[in-house]
Amino acid sequence: MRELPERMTQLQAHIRAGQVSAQDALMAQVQRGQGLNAKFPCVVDALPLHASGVGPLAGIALAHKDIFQLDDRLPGCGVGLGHAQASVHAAAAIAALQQAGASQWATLVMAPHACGATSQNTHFARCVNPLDKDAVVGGSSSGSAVAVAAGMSYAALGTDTAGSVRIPAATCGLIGLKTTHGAVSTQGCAPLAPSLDSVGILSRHAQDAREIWAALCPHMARAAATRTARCHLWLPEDGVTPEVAQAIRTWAAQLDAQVTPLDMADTFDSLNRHAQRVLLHETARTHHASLCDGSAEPSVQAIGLMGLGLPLAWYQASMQSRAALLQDFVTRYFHDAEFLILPSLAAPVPDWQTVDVGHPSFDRAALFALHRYMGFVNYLGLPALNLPIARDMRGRAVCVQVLARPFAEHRLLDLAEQVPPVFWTH
Amino acid sequence: MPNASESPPDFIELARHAFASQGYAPSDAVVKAAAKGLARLHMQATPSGMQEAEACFDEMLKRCAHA
Repeated sequence: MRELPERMTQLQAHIRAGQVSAQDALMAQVQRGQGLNAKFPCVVDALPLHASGVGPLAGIALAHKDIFQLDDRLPGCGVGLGHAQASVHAAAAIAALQQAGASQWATLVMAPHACGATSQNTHFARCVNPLDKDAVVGGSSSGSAVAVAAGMSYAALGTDTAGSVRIPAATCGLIGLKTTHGAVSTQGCAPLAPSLDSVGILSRHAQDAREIWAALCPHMARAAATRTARCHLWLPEDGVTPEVAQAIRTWAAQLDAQVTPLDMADTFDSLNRHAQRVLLHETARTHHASLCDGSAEPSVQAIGLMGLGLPLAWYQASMQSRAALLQDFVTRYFHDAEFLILPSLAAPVPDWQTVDVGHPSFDRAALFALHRYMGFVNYLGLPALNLPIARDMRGRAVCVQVLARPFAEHRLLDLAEQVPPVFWTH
Repeated sequence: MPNASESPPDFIELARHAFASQGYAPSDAVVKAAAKGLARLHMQATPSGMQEAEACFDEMLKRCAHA
């Protein structure tokens, strides 16, 4: 085919109408992806293409974070290439996409063992942000963000334990959907902190994300709906830069919705501590052996050693409180509103050197600003959507994250479809 | 939030004990860093009623979806 359309849904329509064969569409996507990988290196392994030929995603060639098992293949998890392993089955999320007809042409780089809010990884070439070569690519699903933003894949799966889908999406101006805890099985996905791990979707367009969501959770899929929603808006008074806060205020004022500001600083502070306790303890548990023998990756050490030093009783208390705190949160913030809007990043997307640990320009506060508002959402298990809403003075993305009740992913996607796109507007 | 009515625990000792229970022998620098982290994560004990309210998080997710 001569040229691939901008949106996956458009290509699906061409295939359904018989204007292009699924096989030709697959080849065109793989050729484009392989070509762009020279400029935006993010592929770990190119995979042999298996076309199923049936299902709504037939003819769609995707690439995903290298954290998922594939048939007869174990993932490299950001520290090397994947490797063959007989009798291994595809992860549940990958299998669901295959069931819907999708093919996978590549695995994508990620922060080592999914530990890291940036793409920093000494095992692979540095990720380049397709929107701005000087801007950081967030992590840990960094390759997923690069591949989608560069046009190498219409969508990509990632995983989100403390922002690892939303942060890379926010830095690359993408839709990033962290799903409700447990809505998409993490079976076959290398764990980091199982109580917090969630599968997520990155895409350029909300409609494409909806197609992937429908394939992952067919029983939860809904047709797009437009109805005016009531929203709460939390703009933290300290911690969010004036530029980001003003961009969000301006956007919210134009939103076709009733938006009510609120302050949830105290709630956030408490939830954030619980979330960190769970992240630290479970990361230490997952990587106990490598932490104790000194072979753990630096980014794993940074979290895991803290976890080894955390009293077990603290972790247990946070886990025991979790259900009640979720109930309290939902009652408090969703009894009269469908969405809770807050910043994704606390500051404009930084230059990559600024958040590169060990670089002379490294700024710890800038790194903190990337993940500050992320982890508590995983503790609560809620779905969250990263949504680009504006460009900053340098043209980089300013994004909000939108939270909703558990299993309301379809409503988050409804909202995303109603918001005029900031990037990829054609 | 730290409990104002109680003196804060000895975070260094808490960290040392936690490391020992994990079979890990940390350097003094690691213990100090862990203790600093514990100070940030310290909260007063959760009210007992909150722990009894609901034990099953997955069930609560489903309940909150439709409430």
